[in-house]
Amino acid sequence: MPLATILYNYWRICYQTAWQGSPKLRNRADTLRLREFSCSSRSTPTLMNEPTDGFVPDLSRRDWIASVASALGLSVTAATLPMLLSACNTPPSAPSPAQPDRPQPDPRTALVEQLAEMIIPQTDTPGAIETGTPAFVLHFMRICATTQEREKFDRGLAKLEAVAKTQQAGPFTTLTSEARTALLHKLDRGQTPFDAADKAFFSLLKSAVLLGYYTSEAGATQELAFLPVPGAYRGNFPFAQVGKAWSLPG
Amino acid sequence: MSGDVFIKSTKEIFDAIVVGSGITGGWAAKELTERGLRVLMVERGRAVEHRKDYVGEAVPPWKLPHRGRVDAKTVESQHAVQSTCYAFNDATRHFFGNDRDLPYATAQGRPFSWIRGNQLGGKSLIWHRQSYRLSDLDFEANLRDGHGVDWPIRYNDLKPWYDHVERHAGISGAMDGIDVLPDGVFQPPFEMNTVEKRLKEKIEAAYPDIRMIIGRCAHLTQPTPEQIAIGRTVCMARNECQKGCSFGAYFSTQSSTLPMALATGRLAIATDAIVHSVIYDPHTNRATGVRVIDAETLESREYVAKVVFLCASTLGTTQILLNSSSEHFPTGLGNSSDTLGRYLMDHLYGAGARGRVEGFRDEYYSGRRPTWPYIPRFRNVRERHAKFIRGYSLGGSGYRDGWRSFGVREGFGIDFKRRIREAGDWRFSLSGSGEMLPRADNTVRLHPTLKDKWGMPQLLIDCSFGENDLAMYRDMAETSAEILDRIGVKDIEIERVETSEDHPPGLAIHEMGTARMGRDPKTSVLNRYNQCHDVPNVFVTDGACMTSSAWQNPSLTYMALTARACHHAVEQLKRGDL
Repeated sequence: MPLATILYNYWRICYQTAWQGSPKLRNRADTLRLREFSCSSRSTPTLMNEPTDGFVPDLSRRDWIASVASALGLSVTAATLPMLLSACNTPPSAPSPAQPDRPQPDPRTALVEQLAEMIIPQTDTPGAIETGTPAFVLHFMRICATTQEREKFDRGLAKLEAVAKTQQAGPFTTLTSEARTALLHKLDRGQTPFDAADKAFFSLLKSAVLLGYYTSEAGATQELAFLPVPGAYRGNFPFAQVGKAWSLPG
Repeated sequence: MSGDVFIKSTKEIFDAIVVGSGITGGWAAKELTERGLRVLMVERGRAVEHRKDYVGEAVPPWKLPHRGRVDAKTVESQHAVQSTCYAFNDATRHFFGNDRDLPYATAQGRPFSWIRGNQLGGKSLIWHRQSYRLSDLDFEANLRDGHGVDWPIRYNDLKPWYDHVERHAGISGAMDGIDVLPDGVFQPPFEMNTVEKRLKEKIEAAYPDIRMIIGRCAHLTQPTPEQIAIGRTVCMARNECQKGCSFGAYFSTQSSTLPMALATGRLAIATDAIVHSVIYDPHTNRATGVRVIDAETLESREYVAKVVFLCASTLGTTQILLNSSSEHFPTGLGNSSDTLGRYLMDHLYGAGARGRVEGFRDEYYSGRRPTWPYIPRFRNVRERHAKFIRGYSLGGSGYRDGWRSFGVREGFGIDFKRRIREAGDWRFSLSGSGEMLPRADNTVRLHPTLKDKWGMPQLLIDCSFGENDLAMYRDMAETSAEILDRIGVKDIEIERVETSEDHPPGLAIHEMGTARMGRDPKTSVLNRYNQCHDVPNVFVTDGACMTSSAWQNPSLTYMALTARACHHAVEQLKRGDL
C-alpha cells in the first residue's frame, strides 16, 4: 500500500468521525472479535486540583473515542452511541477556566513577527507568520516561560533593537533585508557586537519559534510528516519512503 | 464500572481491604476477588475511568493552548515537584498530584522528589512500563556483601509468580538467555532500528561482557484472547502512554487488573477516601480495618475487613503505618523492629553520555517505540570493580534529531527550515539505572508538627546518596562515554550526577524499602510472604517491602510479590489462620 494511503487511513482513524467505519477497520473488528465497550456514564467526581489553566478537549475527543471503539471492533449502534457520546459530554477532569484577561497588544509584535519569519520563512509551505507563530512566541514568553527565560528574552530583544539603532539606520524592522540578515548572522554566532548571552537569547527565541511552528497544524502536517497513530514501530524504514521528518517526537 | 461498585459509607465486613489502586493495588484486587474474596479497594484520589477520562489523549498539538507546556503560574503554585518528572506536561498533568495539597518536608540540604499519582489507577497510568525480573544475583546481594538484611526469598520462590503476572499483563521482549536478567513469558519484542543494530554489533564485539538487547516493556505486541476479551489490543506505537491509552495496549489498572476484578462481582471501590490509619485490636493482635478521611468533606469513616493489604505506594503505605500508632505500637503499626521508615532507596538515574553517529542519512524509522535498547548489568558480575559494589544497567537509544533539537543549532531561514525537514543527524545515547544501597539513616518519619489539609502528619524525608552510590554514578557516566567513543560515536557529551541536587533521590520514581521483608522479626517489618511479622493479617506488597533495590525497574517484581502474597493470604484465611 502506498504510504500516502496509509497516512490517509490513519488520519481517518484519528480525526474523522468513524460511525460509518472504514472497511479496513471492520476487518480489524472481525479479527479482534470484541463484544463490548466498557464505558459507562458515571459522572466525573470533583477534582481536588484547581487548575488555573488547561487545554480544551473538544469534539475531536468524541470522534476519537468513537474511532477507537471502531478500531477495536466495537459496533457503534443506536444503543451504544448515546453511551459513547456521554463519555465525551461529561466535563473533562482538567476543566478549562475562564479565558485569562486579554493582554494589551505587545509593542514588540512587529519585531517578533519579523524575527520569527526570518527563522522559519514561507516556502512551499506556510512560514511563521501565517501559522500564528509570533503570537504564540509572545504568549509562551508571557505564560509559560520561567522568570529567567522571560528576562533573557526581554534583554535580548532590547539589545538587538539597541544595536540596530546605534549601528544601523534605525529600528530592526526598518532595516534592509540584507542588513537584517547580516545582523542576525552575527547574533546567531554571538559575534561582535553580540556576546554569548545574546547568542543564548537567540537560541531561546529559535526554540520558541520552532515549538510554535512545528506544533501548528501547517507546520506539523504540511511542512513535516504527521503520523498520530503509527500502528506499529518499524526500525528499518527508508527515509525516502516518507521524504521528510516526523513532526511528533520519537 | 456500574454505579453500585462505588461506595462511601458501609457496614459491610469485607474479606479484604486493599489500600491503593495502582500497580499493586490493582493486582491485589484482581487476585483476591478471583480467589473468592469480597474486597474493598480504597483510593485517596478521584475515579478515573478507562478511555473516558483520558482527556489529554489524541488531542493534536495545535489544540493545546501552550502546545504541551504547562503555564508557569500553575507549575510554580501547584506542581513545583511534579513538573520535574519527564512525563509531566499539559496533556498528562491531571494524573500527577497537586504539590500544594500534598506537602512533605525534607531534611536541610537533602532534596527528595516525591512524584505522586493519586487517582484510581495510581501511577499505573503514568509509569514507564519497563518490566524486568530480578535474579539470584540480586536476591543474594545483601547476604553476600552485608548491606541490608538477607532477602527471605530467592528467584525460584518468585519465578512462577513472574510467569503468572507476565502472562496477564503482557510483556514484550526477546528470550535473550542472560543469567542476570531471567527470560520470561513474552510477546514479540519491538525491533531495533538500523543504527541501533549496527551499534549493538560494535558494542558486543568490543566488550565480551556486555549484551545489548531490546527493552522489555508492558505493551501488547500480540494480544492473547484473554487480553482481547477485556478490550485490550496491540500497541499502536504512539508513545503517548502517560495520557492514558484507549487501546489498552499498555498495562494499567484500568486496562488490565480492574476489569478482571470487576468481572467477579466481588469488588467495591471507595474513592476520595484517604486512609488515616490501620485499626488495630490488641486483644486479637489483628487489624480490624482502616480509618479514612473523606477527601472532600473531611469526615472520618471506618471500613472493616479480615485482612488489610497496603498497596498505597512506598511512602504512602509507610505514612499510614507510622500514623497507626497505639499503646502496643507507639512508633507505628508493625514497627517492633524499628526498621519501619528506614532503608529508603531509589535508583541512580540521570548519568550517562550521548553523541552523534555519522552516516545513515538514508535510514529512518516509523512509529514511536515505547521501549529502548537495554544493556543489562555487567559490573560486579564476573569481576569485582575496585570502586563500588553492585551494578547498573544502561538504557540506550538511537534516533535522528528532530525539530526540538534545532533551537541550539546555528542557522535560520530557508536552509534551516530545509535541514529540519530532512531530519537531523543520528544520535545515540546511553543512560544508567543503578542500584542504591540500603542505609539505616535514609529515613522517612512523621513530621512532629506539620500536617496536610486533611490533618494527616506530613512526611519528613531524610535521604541522600552514599559513597558507593556516588562512585557508581561516576562510573556510569565515564563508562557510557567510553563505550560511545570506542564504537565511533562523535561529539560526545557526558551527563554526570555528582550530588543529590543534580538528580534528587525520588526522581527515578522507584522509591522503596521502608517496610522491608526479612527473615528476622527483629530486623524487618515483613516476612517472606509480605506479611507483617507483628500483625499477621496486614500485608504490604508495594515498593515499601523491598529488601534491596537491585538495578532493574521494579514494578514487575511488585506485581509478582503481590500475586504471591494474595495467594498466601487466601490460603491462610481458608485455614482460619488469620
